[in-house]
Amino acid sequence: MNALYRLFKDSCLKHPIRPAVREQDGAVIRYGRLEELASSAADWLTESGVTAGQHVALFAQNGIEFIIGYWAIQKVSAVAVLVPAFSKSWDLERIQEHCDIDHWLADFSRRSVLEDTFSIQTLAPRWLSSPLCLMHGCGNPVKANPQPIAVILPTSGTTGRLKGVTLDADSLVWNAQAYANDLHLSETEKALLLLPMTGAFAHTTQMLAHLFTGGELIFGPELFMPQQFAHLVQRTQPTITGLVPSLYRKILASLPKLAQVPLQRLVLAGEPIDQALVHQGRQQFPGIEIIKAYGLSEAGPRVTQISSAKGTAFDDTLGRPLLGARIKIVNDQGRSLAPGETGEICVASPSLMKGYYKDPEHTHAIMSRGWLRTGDIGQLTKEGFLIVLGRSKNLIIKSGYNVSPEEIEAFLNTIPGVREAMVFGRQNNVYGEGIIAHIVASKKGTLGGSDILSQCRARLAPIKVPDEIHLVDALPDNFNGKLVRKEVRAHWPMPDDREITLGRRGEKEA
Amino acid sequence: MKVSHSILVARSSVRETVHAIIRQVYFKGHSSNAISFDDSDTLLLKLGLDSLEIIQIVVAIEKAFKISIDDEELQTANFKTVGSLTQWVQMLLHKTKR
Repeated sequence: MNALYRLFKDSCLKHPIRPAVREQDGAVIRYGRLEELASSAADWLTESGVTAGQHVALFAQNGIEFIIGYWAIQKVSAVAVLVPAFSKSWDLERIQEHCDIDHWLADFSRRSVLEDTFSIQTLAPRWLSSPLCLMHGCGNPVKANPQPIAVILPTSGTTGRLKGVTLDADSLVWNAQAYANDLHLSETEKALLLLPMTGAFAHTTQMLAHLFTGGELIFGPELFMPQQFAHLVQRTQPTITGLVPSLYRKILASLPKLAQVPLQRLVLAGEPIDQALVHQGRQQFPGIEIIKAYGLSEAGPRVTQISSAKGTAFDDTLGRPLLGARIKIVNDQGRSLAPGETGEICVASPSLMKGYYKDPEHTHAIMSRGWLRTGDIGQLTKEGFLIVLGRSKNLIIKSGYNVSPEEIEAFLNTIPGVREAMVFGRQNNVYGEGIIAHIVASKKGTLGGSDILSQCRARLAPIKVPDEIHLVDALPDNFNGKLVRKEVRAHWPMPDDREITLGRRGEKEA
Repeated sequence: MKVSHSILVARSSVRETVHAIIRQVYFKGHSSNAISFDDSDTLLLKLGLDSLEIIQIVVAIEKAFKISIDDEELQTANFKTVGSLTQWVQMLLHKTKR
């Protein structure tokens, strides 16, 4: 049992009859019962051969199965590797290999994807109304964890490999509590979860933070459409929710006014935040306090946040660091800069990751002497508030998910008939940023956009599927990564700069 | 017999149109017949569409069938599978006719 589970158990003992989780169909599990279910699942894991320190991939959508599986893994002191629920074979194979998975724990809907990918039968005991399935992976018995960790968040990494952000129990507890303290979360809070708990945002600042403070987690529907927001909020009566800005934009576009709802607070994070959008939101939903936040998985995730109750600093900045966190801005040589000067944002905090799993090279490239280089560009004000201006790392942020162009290129290069591929991100009004792929076929005229998309749809998580595919005769001569990619993004002629719209509903955005 | 035959034809053309719309979104506008769907295929898990693409499908359905769909009609259960989506459209058309 680690610090994470102890805190969870304390909360269960303290609030046994309060609702802990609520499903869309209204099913509720109270704290006392949740601890019993997690314990019996932990017993089942132990009986099935799961031991402390092993890596258990949790492959489930937001729901009771996820929560029970997660706490069972923590109770046996295994490591929970959080696998995005819509992952497909390409993603799963890479997670298996790179994260040394010993066991897969999946909800029932995901069983067939697992079986198809690994050609193994899963074990499916029915200890819940809808069961969790366990499958033994071929994990490496020798783990590369220098110290005990609780969670690995696989993120899109560079060529051919992914990055596993490793977090220990203390880091996670710190970040969840620093966040909860800053917002004075209490047991009266009812949090609507619309983002996946496999991501740091919902995992740490929603799931952990609210369970530690005795609040209630309300799971949104499997398929959430922005048009449903008002109805969902009316029906489930949350007091707080969290969104990525691109989703928030679509909710505002589909909903002229939101009045008479108990929703008091809305946290925005995970993508660059456009102040005009926040302003529009405050006009449309006047009664709702907005919290703008900055963070990244590698930092635990939350670093700074600020509430709309804070006046002018709210308009211009993303707030001050949470308890225990510090920020400095450095130049190219790593020298600290003065307030108002622009440079790379570096973070020191008790909640920083322990490193990328099995990847000392990338870990050392961004972490040294307790400081994490974020790859984001920004400034500090004289009062210590953070302003984020952009990012230097090569990353596409699509609907709040980080997608590395190199990973998509590596995937595209596996498709028969593809000679080379170049991928970059471009602003788009549906996903915040869209994925654009330029592809050169081995033999001209033999490969269509739909052939490539068939492969992408079958093997890639939906979020990684390119939004535009352009078959081109050649890539720039000296194409070798970042700089060229940047140049191409700026200068490549795009026929009519095709806008992807949501039609009727999207038109309201204009 | 004639009547039921025409209903059958109408139904199958609704089905074809819905499949064509899904195909278009699936291939992000690239034209192709390279995939055929089963009624039991789930839109999210099997086809790998996301919620925003499903909204694109709704918009395309409105255009193709010249109907207007209220937001209240957007129930998750209707978007579970290719079959449930087709049935839902047939139901909407039936309601519109009445």
